[in-house]
Amino acid sequence: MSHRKKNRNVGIIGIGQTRFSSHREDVNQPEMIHEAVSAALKDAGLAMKDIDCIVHGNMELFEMVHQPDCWHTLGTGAYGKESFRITTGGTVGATLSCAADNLVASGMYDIVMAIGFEKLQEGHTTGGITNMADPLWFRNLQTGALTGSKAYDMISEFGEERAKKASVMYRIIMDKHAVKNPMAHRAFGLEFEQLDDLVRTSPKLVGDLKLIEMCSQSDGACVVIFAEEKTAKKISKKPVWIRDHITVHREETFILFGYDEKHPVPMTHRFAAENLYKRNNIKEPLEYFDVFEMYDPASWWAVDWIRDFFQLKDDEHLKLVENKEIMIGGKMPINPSGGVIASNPIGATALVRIAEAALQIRGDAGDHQIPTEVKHALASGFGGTMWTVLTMLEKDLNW
Amino acid sequence: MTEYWGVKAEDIFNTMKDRFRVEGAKGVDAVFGYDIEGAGKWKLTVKNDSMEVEKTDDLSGCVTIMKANEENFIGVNIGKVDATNAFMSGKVKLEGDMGTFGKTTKMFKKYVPAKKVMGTGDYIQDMFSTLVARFQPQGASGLDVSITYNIGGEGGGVWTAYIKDGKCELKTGQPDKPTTKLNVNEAKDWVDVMLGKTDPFSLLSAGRASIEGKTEIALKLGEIFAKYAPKIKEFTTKDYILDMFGTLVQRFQPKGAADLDATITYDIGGEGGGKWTAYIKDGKCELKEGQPEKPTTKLCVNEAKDWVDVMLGKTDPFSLLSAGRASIEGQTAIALKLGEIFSKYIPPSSGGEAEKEELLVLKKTISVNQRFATGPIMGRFLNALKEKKIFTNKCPKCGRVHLPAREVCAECRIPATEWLEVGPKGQVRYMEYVYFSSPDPLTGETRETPYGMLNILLDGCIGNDTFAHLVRRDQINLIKNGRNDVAGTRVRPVWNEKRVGSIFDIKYFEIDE
Ligand SMILES: [Zn+2]
Repeated sequence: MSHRKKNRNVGIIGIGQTRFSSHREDVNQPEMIHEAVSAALKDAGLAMKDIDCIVHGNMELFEMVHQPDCWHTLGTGAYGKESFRITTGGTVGATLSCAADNLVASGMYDIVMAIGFEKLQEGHTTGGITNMADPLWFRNLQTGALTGSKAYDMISEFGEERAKKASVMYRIIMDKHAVKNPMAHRAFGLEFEQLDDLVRTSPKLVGDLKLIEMCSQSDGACVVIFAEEKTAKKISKKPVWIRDHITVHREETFILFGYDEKHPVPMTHRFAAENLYKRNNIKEPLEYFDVFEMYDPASWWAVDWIRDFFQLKDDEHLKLVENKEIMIGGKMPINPSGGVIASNPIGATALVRIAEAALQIRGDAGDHQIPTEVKHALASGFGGTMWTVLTMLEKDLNW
Repeated sequence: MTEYWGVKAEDIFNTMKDRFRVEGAKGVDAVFGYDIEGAGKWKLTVKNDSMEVEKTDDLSGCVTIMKANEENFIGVNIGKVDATNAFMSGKVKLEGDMGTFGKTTKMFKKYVPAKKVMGTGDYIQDMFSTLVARFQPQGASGLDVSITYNIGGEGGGVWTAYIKDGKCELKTGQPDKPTTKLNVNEAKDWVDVMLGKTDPFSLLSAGRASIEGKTEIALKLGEIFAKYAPKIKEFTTKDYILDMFGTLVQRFQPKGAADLDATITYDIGGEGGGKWTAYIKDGKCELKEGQPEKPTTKLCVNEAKDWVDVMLGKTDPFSLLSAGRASIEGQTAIALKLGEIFSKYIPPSSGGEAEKEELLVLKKTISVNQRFATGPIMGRFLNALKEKKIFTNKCPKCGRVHLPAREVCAECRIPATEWLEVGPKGQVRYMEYVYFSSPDPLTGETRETPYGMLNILLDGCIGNDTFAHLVRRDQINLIKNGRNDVAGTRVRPVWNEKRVGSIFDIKYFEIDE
């Protein structure tokens, strides 16, 4: 894989998010996006005239609005600006960040604004996801984003009791984080004492995937402003540097799961992480990173993916969850924001991971701030049939 | 049994019969249980177009049992508790068949708590309990008085407002010599005065009320206290109509009616309706019930409800006129000037929840016919299904056998040229056991649950290139997954009689033994 070093360094200088909720009937799409745009401009201390270029993205199929960026010009302020529209499924938010980073690094623009949004209540999410499947073949059969196969895999590997508990433990930890994040959509106030009860009684959706373990459908928007090094240092007291990002995807296929160890299934997560760490000379990712904002659509997947993203072996990932090492204050805090399982405005979701990782580095995450210094952060995006985008964020420009 | 938001759990069950929607229960034949902690257990039996609900201790035979405490159950039913949150966080639990239970949501109209009708006593209580809050210091500046209300009849009583230094205090009973004392024989009359249905002077002149002490204080009451307004949520159409006409004279704007000499009759039909006429002359307005022989303009509205909506700005009058639900007789021009003659009606909102500005949600349904070209590779694969054959192709480099057939091997980036026939039998590697009834993407209908989706390793295929299809519904619980060298359940396709080259030329797979 050929990969060149960046032309110029790029820093995040502004972050804005809306509250995530399933009830945003109080505003239309441009109005909702405008909330995040204004918040990001305010955070950066910039005005719209300072923005050189805009990248805008979501999942068109979910709201069935073609080229929403045209309509949204009212809320984005993009009139007369260079503008790109991006849509790559669940990863779109992460791809927006990659694109903004590349546009600035290339030297084409000094300040680029990335806008991710979704208003899921205005369309039909399962219908949208279904329409992404191969229309000749799989569309008739599949049922959206729900699958029990990862639960089945983990139960086969670690036994029913341990696997089920780990998944719900992860879920409770995410909820404990979400209650500290005022932007979070779902924050129930779950307690660890409820673990056994939730394992037993939360309704099953597919196989052993239970309702409590699946992410929500949210409305909301996220905006992140990127600037080249000199500008970033001038404008921001605490720019957060984008060190590198990697995107890995494969053919549209639902063969995601290994039923036969003689034929290992190439996992995009593990593959992406491996290559990203290799080219950045990261030997022990679990030691290197201080926080990980992971795109976790369901708790089974989340627990399993920890193993892929940190290149762990055997049951090391389970132990991290079981020992609550993924909590704020633990060895590797995962999703202090509450993650995707708490809030999922899909087109914004992966950008929120990057925004939240950057807030942690800045020390501006509020109640869900990690108490110790955050220097190195990792953010992931996920979509389609195992698309992966990984982004590395740094506090200091010293790599 | 406890009340939450003024509702008891049994209210919800007792109204189920009235709220039952036959069309929502089509094809349902099931018994559901409700175990409401603190309130008891109920059993709901649904059989096609009929239903029974009974309170019982025996919930045996129920396909699904809902468990919740009273507060959560009532809250979810009346919309005070977010149902999804309650359900996901385990505050409301479902044991048994969730999919079938989901149909109960379409089976009943929403529970609406019965409106509590306010009696005279309730109004009197409410008026005096809000009196201090309605006190307006600027209207009482310099006053040092006691005002006694002596209200007779059912719901009546004696209260005194002590006003001094711009402050107001209310006590029951009366001092020896109140500055002003208002005597009203019947509480009901006083309520009507306060609601603007009667004017106080007609009570006084009819001898149904009297004033002792300083009369001028009584005349200042409208300045000393803000207008009493019952809680808006309890306003019925009739209340609104009465309030609108009760405030019409106040809302008259002489400069909007300069030189006007006209009679405007409102003929409002339906519940809460009536006939009123505004007599406008010399910059003055008087309202009387009934109508003169030939009013200058007559507004006829079929339903009082519609007129209330117009006055509250929820409907525009022109759509009522064009829909034939309202009409104008006489001089239309005057009807068009009503907005100038009278100021806008503002419903009373003090004490009640102010009604939120109504936001619009535009509803759309999209239905699109689509045609997709298959191309030669998928075409060959789909065409073979007509002949009850499953064809696929193999990567010449890595040996991967694609299912379905693919144009190239995505990993090796070369055409998969070698065709081979596989299956049609195979072994199950994994089955998705689907409990959640998500809509069928092709029809929009909610699928029957539970159902199973198989990943089948067809004979002749290798590794993880499995073939996805449905399993015969009654065999879901008999399927065993395979893993590594352990084979899963053997299955065979069941073909449709009429085959058109679609994936549904195979109806489903069934166990092959
Ligand atoms: Zn190949």
